[in-house]
Amino acid sequence: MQQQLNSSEISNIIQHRIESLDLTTQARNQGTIISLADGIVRIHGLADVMYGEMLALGNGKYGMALNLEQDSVGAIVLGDYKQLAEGQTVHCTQKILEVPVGEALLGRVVNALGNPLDGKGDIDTDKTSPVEQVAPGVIARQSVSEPLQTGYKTIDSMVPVGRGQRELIIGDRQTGKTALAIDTIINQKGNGVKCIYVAIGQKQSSVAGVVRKLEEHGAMEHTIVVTASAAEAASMQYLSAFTGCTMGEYFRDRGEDALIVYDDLTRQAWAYRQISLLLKRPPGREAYPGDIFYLHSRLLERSARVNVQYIEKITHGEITGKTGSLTALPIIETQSGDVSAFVPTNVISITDGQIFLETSLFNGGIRPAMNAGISVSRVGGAAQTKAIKKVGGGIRLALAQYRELAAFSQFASDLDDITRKQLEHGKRVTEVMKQKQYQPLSVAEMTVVLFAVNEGMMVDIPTDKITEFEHSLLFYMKAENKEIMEEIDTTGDLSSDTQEKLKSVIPRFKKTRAW
Amino acid sequence: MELLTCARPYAKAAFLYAMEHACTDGWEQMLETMSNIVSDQKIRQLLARPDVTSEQRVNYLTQILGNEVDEPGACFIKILSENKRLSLLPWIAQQFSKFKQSHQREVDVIISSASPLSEAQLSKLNEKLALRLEQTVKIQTIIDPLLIGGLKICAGDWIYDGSLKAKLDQLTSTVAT
Repeated sequence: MQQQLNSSEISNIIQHRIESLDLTTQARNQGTIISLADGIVRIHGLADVMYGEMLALGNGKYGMALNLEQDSVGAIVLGDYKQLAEGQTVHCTQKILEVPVGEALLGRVVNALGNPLDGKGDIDTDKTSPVEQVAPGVIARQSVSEPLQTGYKTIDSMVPVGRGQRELIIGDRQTGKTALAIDTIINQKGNGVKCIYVAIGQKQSSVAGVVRKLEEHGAMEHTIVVTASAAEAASMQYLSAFTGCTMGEYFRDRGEDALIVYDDLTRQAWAYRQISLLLKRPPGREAYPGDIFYLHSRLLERSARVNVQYIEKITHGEITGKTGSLTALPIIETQSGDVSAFVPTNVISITDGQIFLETSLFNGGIRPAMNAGISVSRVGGAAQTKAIKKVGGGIRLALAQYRELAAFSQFASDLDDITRKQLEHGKRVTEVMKQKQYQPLSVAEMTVVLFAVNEGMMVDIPTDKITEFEHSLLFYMKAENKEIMEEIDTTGDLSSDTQEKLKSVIPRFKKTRAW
Repeated sequence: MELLTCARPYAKAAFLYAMEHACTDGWEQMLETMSNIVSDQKIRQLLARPDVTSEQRVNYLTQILGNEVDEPGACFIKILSENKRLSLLPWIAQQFSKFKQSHQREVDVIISSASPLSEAQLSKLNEKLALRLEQTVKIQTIIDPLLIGGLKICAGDWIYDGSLKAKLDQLTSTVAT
């Protein structure tokens, strides 16, 4: 319903704004623009400016002071700089850049400054927070022990992600990195995890597509989309990641769980490189500035799980007995699978694990195209539900053995029985690991499927029928054995009783040949 | 602003010499004159000619300056010419003045008002500003009717804008956003 303002409401708004206006005159620092090019402003004066301070450039434009030199200040313009000119006066604001935060941002699409882009009106929040904040200290943290379900069998069984972890998604272009992240966001529907999707340097059409998909699957209600598209200034692309992080920290610091996806940090590094080179900072390896590691490390360190005492202190006792977390899924795009390049190695060393997506697997129909051999989660089983942990161990082993024997698969008829069985089992596990986009599975669904394949109940199913078998099995379980599914979903465990029940139910289903 | 960076070492050296020999006023005047001369278009073109040697440049300038330049001043010009930095003289003069002001703890303050200020008002402003800035204040007044009322005080980079115009601008931007 479009809101129509009547005349009295407009007057009230203006009256409120006038009443809340502070007209106290304050001394301020002033400078003059002496050079303006490529989004970088050089200012003479501003003797008292601080690093990272917001500067009022006039005409409603703001900048951020990044180079404090002896005779001038170098600043980036936050946005379009066409209305600025040499000779204009610039003032210090004595503030670091702040962006709006709060529940009002959920369901909205905003830019790097927190301004709405979706045409749904102003964002109704009066809370703001600085984009640059110090990450929680060592004492404030709590170890990651709760799972964040992505809904993907291959991820949740072999490289489980916990709440508060940083798990890197790395791969070449068009390998399903964004798809994986979006599916994870969709899977958080209904379990209280707030999501933030930061689109850095993406095509606007791609971002529009992502927003549409999230809306279709009812995921926008718990998601904030922060976008700095390829058409925007490098300063906005650089800042957008920090903006999203600040919005996520709001939920973390209130004892809630949040998930943030940075898509992708490679483009943020490019934007920062552009800014640094234009500010005449000395280029280092691959022309990146010397502090490119610090750019990503200080961003990702803010994704953490914080303990009860930290929440109580931050909220001044308003929220007690709860821990908060901000899980990060940063995405890095590699060129030709080169994970040993500068920025990928930097981010790999920062994060708590990585999911490698390979083009060859993607083209071979294995989607998600995760290379299970080199993907890892450093949190591991501590962040897995008990049910998945019980069935997940066999999956990784089966795939590892299958990879070892894959070269012999062409000689299948000449192999001994054990080897042939391992190959057949590996093929079935590989098929089971495949999953379509926008079809996340619940813990119970995942457990049932993985249990079936682990117990060898799919050995007599042809490989090309595995997917249909899986769908039919889940349909059967949800229709005829709802209590088993509910028990697994509720307890998060696969008790021996439940295992016995599954051992009788699944063969019964197989007899129906309903796939 | 890279020119200011290049000019600073020369200005600092000149200032330290002038301080040692207690002739800062003389040097300030001399640098001002040199700066005006090299800023002249014809002189600039002459000095920029590639067929003119460094020694010739020094001779030209010292001849033009005549009694305005002493021996140390001529030496200074020679150093600048050898390093091809004669064009920096305006910035050197500017920086020298800043060093001198800073040393004497003096600051130029520009006070803009909508209507002329009385002597009593100026005296009070002088006293308050000297206390606030902890320096000797040299006030220059400007009448700007556009301010409507109040004062705008500029001391280097520090601005205190208590004018009515500034408050109206602030109100406008708050209501408009």
